[in-house]
Amino acid sequence: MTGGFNPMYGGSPGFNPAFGGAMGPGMGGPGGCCCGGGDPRMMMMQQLQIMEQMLNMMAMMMGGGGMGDMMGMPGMGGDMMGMPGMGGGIPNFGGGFPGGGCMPGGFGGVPGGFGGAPGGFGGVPGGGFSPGGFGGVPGGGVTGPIQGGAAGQGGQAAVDYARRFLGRDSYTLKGQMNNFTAAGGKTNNCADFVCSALQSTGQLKGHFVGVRALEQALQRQGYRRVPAQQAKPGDVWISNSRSHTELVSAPGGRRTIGSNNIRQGFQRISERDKNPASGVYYSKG
Amino acid sequence: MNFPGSPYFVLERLLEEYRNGLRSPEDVARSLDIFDSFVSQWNEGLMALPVEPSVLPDGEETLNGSFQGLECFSEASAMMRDFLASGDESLADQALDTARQGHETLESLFFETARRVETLQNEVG
Repeated sequence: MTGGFNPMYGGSPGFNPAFGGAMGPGMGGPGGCCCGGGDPRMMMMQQLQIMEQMLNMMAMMMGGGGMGDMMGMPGMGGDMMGMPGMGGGIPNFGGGFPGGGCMPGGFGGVPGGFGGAPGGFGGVPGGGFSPGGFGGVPGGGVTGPIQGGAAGQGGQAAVDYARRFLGRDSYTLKGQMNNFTAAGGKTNNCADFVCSALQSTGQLKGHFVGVRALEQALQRQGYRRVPAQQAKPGDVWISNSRSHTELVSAPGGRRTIGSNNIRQGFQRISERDKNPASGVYYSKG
Repeated sequence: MNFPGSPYFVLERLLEEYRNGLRSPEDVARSLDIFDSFVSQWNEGLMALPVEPSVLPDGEETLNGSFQGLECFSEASAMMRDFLASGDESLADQALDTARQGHETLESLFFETARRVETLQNEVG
């Protein structure tokens, strides 16, 4: 039972046609035309279909989708047990776009497969994780910016620089870490931090405080998406939802360092193990 | 809380079994790998949804809420791993709190979406 996906979901790479985004014939096409001046009823049908898909996804997530079963917890499976009004089988989910009419039955059937990759986010509790020798500089007390680019070379230099801030609350790095702006205040500084580490050690040009903007900049500047096994220190990990990013600190993408949530709305610099399946990796070519 | 098979309850039970000596740390870590894989799949599934702002103006907001719910689960899983590594019980509590936030976020979105679907169905006829 290693890492495989529940056969319930098909397990194959690629997406279930049910979620594949293709609007069915007569539904206006992928470009989202027929809006505005279109037939209001057709518009409502389209809305209904999309919302039914969203609802189906939520039902699957909240039902666990068989997660418990795969962990050896019989009885926690992917049905909607205990949900009032959600008992029956499900009409219409699983292939393309249904013609409406889903709610009456309930959920249950799960569509085909989603393909593999990851999502994830940060979240490391305070303390306990910085590897020996790099120790954080908790609480401040450092005056003036800490210069980057000294220790290692290439991507490792970015990691070495980032590690100098382990244990620090991210917002306190402004004025301490070169290029860091604390754009997200006490939270949402993940891209700011990764970018600062790269920029300050000559691995990236420009400063980007949003994950998507950072990803685009990486692509423009020659970074390429690589499998986790090929990730090396100084590469960049980005969650599937593009909501979080960290700097790879160990070969194979197994460890990362970043500005991570220690509680809601508050980030601290920490280094931690990373499930390689939890995001995408960019490496400088 | 509804949805007794949700990731929150899975994590809660995993923790309980670990505390009761029914699971080794390695076993829990493997289970968390499975947990992460599911969350990843769901992330992919959400990203593949054809939500067109021109068709469903607030669809993106709902999607973002769903992503946040999933992120809570991922975060909870990471905290569980930290708990395993450190033995710090407060991390386990934080993990469950975070997973509960994810559960409540998704639960709320689910019921809101279900209500809207029902309304639309009635309008479409």
